[in-house]
Amino acid sequence: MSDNGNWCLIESDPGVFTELINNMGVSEVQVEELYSLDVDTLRGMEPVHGLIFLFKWQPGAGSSDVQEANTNNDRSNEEVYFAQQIIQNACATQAILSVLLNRAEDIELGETLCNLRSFSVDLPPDMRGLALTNCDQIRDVHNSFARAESFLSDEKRAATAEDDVFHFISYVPVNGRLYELDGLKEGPIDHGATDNWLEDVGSVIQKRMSQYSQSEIRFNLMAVIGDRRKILNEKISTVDADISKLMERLEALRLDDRTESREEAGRVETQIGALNSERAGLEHMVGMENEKFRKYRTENALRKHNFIPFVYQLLRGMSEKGTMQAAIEKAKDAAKRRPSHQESRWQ
Amino acid sequence: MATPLFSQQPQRGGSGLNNRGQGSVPGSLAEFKAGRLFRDGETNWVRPDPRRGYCYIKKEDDGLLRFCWKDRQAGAQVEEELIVFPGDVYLERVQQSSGRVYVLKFKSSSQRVFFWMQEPDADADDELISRVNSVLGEGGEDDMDIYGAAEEEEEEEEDDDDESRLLLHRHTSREAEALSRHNEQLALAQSSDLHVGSLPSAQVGGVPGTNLRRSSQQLPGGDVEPADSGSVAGMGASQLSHLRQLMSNIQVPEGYDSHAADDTRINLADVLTPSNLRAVLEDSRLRSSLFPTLPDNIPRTRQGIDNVIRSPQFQQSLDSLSYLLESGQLAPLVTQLGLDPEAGTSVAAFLEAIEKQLENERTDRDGDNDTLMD
Repeated sequence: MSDNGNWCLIESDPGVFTELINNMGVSEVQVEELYSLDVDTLRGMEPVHGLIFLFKWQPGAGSSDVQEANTNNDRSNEEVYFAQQIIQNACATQAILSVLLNRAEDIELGETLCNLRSFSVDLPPDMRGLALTNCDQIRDVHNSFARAESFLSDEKRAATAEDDVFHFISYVPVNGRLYELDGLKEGPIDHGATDNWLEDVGSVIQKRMSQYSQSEIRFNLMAVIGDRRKILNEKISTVDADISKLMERLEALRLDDRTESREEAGRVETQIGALNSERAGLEHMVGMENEKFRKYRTENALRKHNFIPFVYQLLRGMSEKGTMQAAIEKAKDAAKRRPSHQESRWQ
Repeated sequence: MATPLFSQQPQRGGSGLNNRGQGSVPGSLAEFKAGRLFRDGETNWVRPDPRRGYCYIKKEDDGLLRFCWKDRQAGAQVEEELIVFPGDVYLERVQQSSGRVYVLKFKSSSQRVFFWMQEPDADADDELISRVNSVLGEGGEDDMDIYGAAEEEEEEEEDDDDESRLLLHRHTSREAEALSRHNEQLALAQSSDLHVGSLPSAQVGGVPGTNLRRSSQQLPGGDVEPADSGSVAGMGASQLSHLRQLMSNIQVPEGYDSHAADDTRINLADVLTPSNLRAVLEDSRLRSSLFPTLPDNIPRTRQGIDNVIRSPQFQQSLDSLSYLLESGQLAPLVTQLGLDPEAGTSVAAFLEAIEKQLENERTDRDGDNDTLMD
């Protein structure tokens, strides 16, 4: 991991990951941040393709836990697509790919990832990692999320001890078994057979988190899920179909003047009312998704934006208004108020 | 199964934007903030390296005194490590320069190493330099035989002027092969391998505000004195630079904190606050001047600008830009804004340069309109 091969650091943010996935040519997949490992929360997001567990990595921490589960290299190459992590800065993208490439049957991978998969599927894990990090299209997409200033500096260096090093682990179901894919390990960790992985993954991650609880480590969890708007719109279509069926029945019932029919018509009207409010709820959720994606676009544009001209114009404006010196003084005061440092120039 | 929430954090690995601690070298005998200047190619011009650094003097376990320079940026390696001998070296102000430029001179050779002072208080320079020179003269109040310590006793018989060179030569020949692989490092070493006698004022007068382009324009007309390059002395200096490179592989003592946090360090995020910017944003002409600098999908309205200024992405960007300015990495870019390279040495310098730029523009305009003010 000493050579970062021109992979920039990117921010771990669902908006970044979602656009990144779409720009790699994968459609109908998005990334959501999870605030709970509650099964109901996870079920509400189905289809869930995989989870990405992110934590601040400390050398030595949690490195001795491999024996708790089986790492099985032989099976890995047949069943699980596992790639070793070669480049630190690429780890977020690699964690996402680890999920996507194991879900080829359920996800429309697109040309780039299909090619990568078929090219590297017969390689051992370390060579897969290399193939991944050498893929120009993926790297270009990844690097497009680097903030503009990062190209100005030589920060494409390996993270040092002073930096926060974030490590990503993917959890993905393959052929009825739950696997943990940690690019720093030799192979995938098999957490056993599972009927419903969403019920089992919580305790696995919980256990993992408890290993770090004493070292003030920071956690984060992302879910790679299906396109919410597509699923919501499908639900709306189903509801619409149900409503029109009920409307037809209601028409028929209204032609009939019998008491039972009138009572039945009342029940149908209630059902239609319930479906209409369900539909309104779904519409509202689509609206929220649309709003979220609009926010993603804005935020990603700001992330990628080179702010130097904007900052320069703002400062010129301040100078023109004669407010610069006062602002400088205020900023100096603010700097002094920050955690103090000792003056030790001469001893 | 209900599991507890866990804290949500912004993740941004490895950008190294922490500004903690005061930089100082444990065990250093003397230390001050300064940047370097390099000789511009084969000319007698020196050109400032805009980065912010530390000069410090320390004594290693081998009893030899080192004069070092190091970037103040996080995790920076020692870039200059000169073995110096008590009484052989001294710092001197470059009289030809109007700036605070100092030269480290060697009595035993014509080697010159240039620095520009970055201590906040210019008035304290004289006292500072005299303290540094006292350390350099006394060798850290330790009268141990430095030549003996280096086990080069037979060469003590040599003439004073040659002693250190011969000593260095022996070291160098042993390591020459290993060193030759570090072409880049050697190039760096040689570039500071100066044999500059005296510098015409034009050469260093603009330092550190002189950029390369300007200096080369001034060069032909400049009153350039021939370089004082004694051949034997020159070789000695070259050997010394080899050794310096060798020594630069020595690890910096652990716990060395290179984060400089002097009192004048400010963050752009504390300058470009919504309240500080109110007057600017209320001016429709200034607002319009900002529109072309916004991302495409931001509405060209006051609200649009306001949202950008309050966005976490802009705040992060200001943190990065402050860091890049403080570490001198924006120096090449500020010149494109028509500012002196000096503007790229710190946030404060950047802001002052913009103030100056506007002032100059006003003066030019007034001059054009024949309405010069007193």
